[in-house]
Amino acid sequence: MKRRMRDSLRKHPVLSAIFALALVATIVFGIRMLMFMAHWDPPPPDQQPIEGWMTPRYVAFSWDIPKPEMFAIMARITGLDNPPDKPMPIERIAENSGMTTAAFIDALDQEIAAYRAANPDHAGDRPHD
Amino acid sequence: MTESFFTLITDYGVWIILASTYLSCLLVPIPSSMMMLAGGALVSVGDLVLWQVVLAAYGGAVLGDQSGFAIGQRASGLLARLTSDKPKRKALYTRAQKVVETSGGTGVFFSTWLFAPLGPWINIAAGAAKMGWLRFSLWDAAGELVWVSIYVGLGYSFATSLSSIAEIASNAIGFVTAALIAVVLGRWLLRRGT
Repeated sequence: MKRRMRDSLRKHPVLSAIFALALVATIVFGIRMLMFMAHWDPPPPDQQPIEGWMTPRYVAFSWDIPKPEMFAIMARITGLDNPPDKPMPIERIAENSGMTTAAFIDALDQEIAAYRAANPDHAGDRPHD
Repeated sequence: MTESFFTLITDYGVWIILASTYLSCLLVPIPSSMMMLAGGALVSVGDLVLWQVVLAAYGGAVLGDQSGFAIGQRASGLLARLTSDKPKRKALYTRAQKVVETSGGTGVFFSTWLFAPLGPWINIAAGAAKMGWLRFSLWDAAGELVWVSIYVGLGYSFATSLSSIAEIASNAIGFVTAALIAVVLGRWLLRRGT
């Protein structure tokens, strides 16, 4: 069997190369998969750093902020009373209110920290509701 | 990079999900699985509506597969002409058609989700090898339902750990696909060695 394989590998160099590549890829993907699974702490990590693509609802969910409170925070930062009628990424909301995304996220971080300091029940680990 | 795709979803809604699953079935490199995960996550926080996300992802995927199949069908005439006066090539083409006849259905089914990176190629190959349209469509529709349900479901369930779940899922898909290629090629090489 070993010899048969060796002969075949010599006769079909291109397919053999693809075969070798597939073997390597199997090992690499397998190891990466196991590593990510090992580092994935249950329960799922909440409190994700805020990024421009996230919507206010997503941030509220991730940081355990009640939605009315989140809307109040957004109103304070943007200076607008009414939330937009459709979901928007923070990037767009910042743009619409004439701020940079980074400045907006900074302001949001501070508001969230203040809220959590004032409401310790929302500041710790929690089961998902 | 992926983040800018997410911004597109929150900006334009489910149409972006439809476009990305459609294009990814035609080999355009768009992280459509990430888009479905994000769609599921945005459903769970209340920004998007579940049936719309599912319908968009599913519609895009099925239409994309149909397009790939149609491209393959176009190519089949060309293949027949190219192989007609070359007995060796003709035999190869006939054999490919036989494989499609015997195991094409399950092949299409699994290529839509478990071995997703092979999906676009399999659709074209199925069309080129003259697989029946109805048979292709039924297996494909069933497979895409699995694909969409898994990813939107994962996004919904693990809304706040999108990037971890995406890493695990994409590596798992890469693992099984590479393993499949290695096994199939390995067996073929072993048999050829005699």
